[in-house]
Amino acid sequence: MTAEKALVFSRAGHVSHSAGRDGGASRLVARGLFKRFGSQEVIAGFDHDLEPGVVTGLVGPNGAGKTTIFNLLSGGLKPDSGTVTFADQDVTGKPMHVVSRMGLGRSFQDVRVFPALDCLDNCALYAQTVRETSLVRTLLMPRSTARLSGVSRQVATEAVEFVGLGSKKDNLAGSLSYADQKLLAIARLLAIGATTLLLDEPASGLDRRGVEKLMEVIRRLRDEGRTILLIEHNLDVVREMCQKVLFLDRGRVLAEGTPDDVFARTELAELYFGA
Amino acid sequence: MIYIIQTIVIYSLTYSIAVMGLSLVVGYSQIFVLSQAAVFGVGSFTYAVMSSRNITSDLLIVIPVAIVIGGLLSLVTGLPLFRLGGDYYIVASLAFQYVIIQGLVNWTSVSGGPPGLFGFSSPSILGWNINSNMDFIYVLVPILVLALGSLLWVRRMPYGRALVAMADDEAALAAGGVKADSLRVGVFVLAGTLAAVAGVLFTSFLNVASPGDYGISESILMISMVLVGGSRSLIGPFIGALFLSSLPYWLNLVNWSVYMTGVVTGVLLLLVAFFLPDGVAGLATSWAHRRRIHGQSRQAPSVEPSLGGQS
Ligand SMILES: Nc1ncnc2c1ncn2[C@@H]1O[C@H](COP(=O)(O)OP(=O)(O)OP(=O)(O)O)[C@@H](O)[C@H]1O
Ligand SMILES: [Mg+2]
Repeated sequence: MTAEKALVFSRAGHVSHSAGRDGGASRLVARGLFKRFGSQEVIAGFDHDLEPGVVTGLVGPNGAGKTTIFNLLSGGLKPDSGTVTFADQDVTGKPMHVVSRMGLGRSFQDVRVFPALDCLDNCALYAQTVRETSLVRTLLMPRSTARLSGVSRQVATEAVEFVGLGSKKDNLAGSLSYADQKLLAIARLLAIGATTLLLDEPASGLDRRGVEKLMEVIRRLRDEGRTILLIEHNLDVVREMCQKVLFLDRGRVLAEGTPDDVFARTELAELYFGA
Repeated sequence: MIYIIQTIVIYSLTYSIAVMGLSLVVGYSQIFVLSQAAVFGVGSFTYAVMSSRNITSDLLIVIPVAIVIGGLLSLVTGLPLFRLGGDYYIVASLAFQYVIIQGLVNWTSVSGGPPGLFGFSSPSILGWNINSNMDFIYVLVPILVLALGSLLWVRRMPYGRALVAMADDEAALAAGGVKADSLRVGVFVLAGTLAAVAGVLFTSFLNVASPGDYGISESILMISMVLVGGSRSLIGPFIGALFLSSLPYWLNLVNWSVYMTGVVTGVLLLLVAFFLPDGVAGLATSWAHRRRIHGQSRQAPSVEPSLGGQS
């Protein structure tokens, strides 16, 4: 990586090679999270210190509450009780747009790229600063806005190339294959400079080649020292990617450990695959 | 005849300025505010009051004053407006519309009460008196170009990109660090500012300002211009403004009563609602667009539509 690019990365809060050093500071901690929807207790006491620089898997049957945990961690959804801290700050129920700018990025189970924007713009949107997004500045300081916008596009280009979509950067996201949309969703999180990534079923719906590509990207993110929490139903992916696994059922963590340990427990397999 | 054409041009240009910003509100924010006429009226009375009290009739002074008043008013109403959940902001914008206009009606010492103010000195720019219809057109065109240029610029810049994204998926926008409500307030204020500018021009041309002209039905007319013309394109509001602001003339031409204006507008709105979601301007672009998006995505596996977005 050239010095110039490194500079660009640092503006977006990108950590690149040095992510590991920063990892300690932007630690994600959940304490005693409870959440009910109506009469249904969806999360019944979730405690976890996400280990920095490690890929942690979050597995469990459908409806276990995995996505709800992401919603609680990434802001927007307020727990009934309990706290979420990120980078030593209380972010419990803080708006998602605030939390994501702190470096906690999340993807969506249903992907949600912006179909009417091209790949580069999808990422540039995530890379853009608060100042660029000010209407007053856009109108009164056009030159500075255009300059900042150029920098975000550079950051976005880096992100798009990182996941291997460089050649498709001008294609509308809506026209991409499902697999490419999923890669783009990860690229967006790099563009915003996420040091901790919450990925919601990134491998679902992908064919073997898609899964291979995805695992390659996750591996490189891990090597850069980023912290990843991965919801995934594809247990082969979990086994290969994760150093650690949480098994969730009906809002409770039933087991925690290395993938081999957790998957060896037959009672969990029964829960998971349905007896 | 030439006089009629000039008048039609003046009306359409003025209304284009008045609703141009509203197209961003309706088209991208997908919010229906029914208070545009109130800010239009506030612009009108800014000119009426300043001119009738002999403060100044120089547009280079009145327009900035109207921008500040219209902008601030939109800001203080927009901030709480978009905090409201669901569709209540529509009701709130109606209330805003109502309060402003009734406020003007009752603030007799300033607005002249229900009959309003009339008979001002003619507007000027740095000592040049704007008298003839052609003079007005010379003033309107550069203002319109400036307004259009600003909107095009905003659309090209990160703010505009965020607007496009917001129309698609607010949750994904928030995950990107952008707050949809701030974007909404921004376009709402921009729309209000442009309406206030148009109000100044409108009244300086008509030489009369009366609160009753800026009521709810005027707000509905303005939003109809955007919807009929097409809210997702910048040319749309022009088409809508050109046609609907001159509708009484066309009706007169075919010997219909001017009271049919409302009926025709209503029918047009229904037609648009059912057949042309992107308005008249959308007709032209939809063909090309369909080829661009749907043509390509047909080969791709279908993606779950991500509606809602409140997770
Ligand atoms: N906003 C909501 N309102 C009401 N119920 C909800 C809401 N969100 C989630 N739930 C319920 O909470 C439970 C857990 O949902 P969640 O989406 O977290 O499961 P999950 O583990 O991600 O499942 P999957 O593997 O199918 O994605 C489900 O029963 C779901 O119906
Ligand atoms: Mg889920």
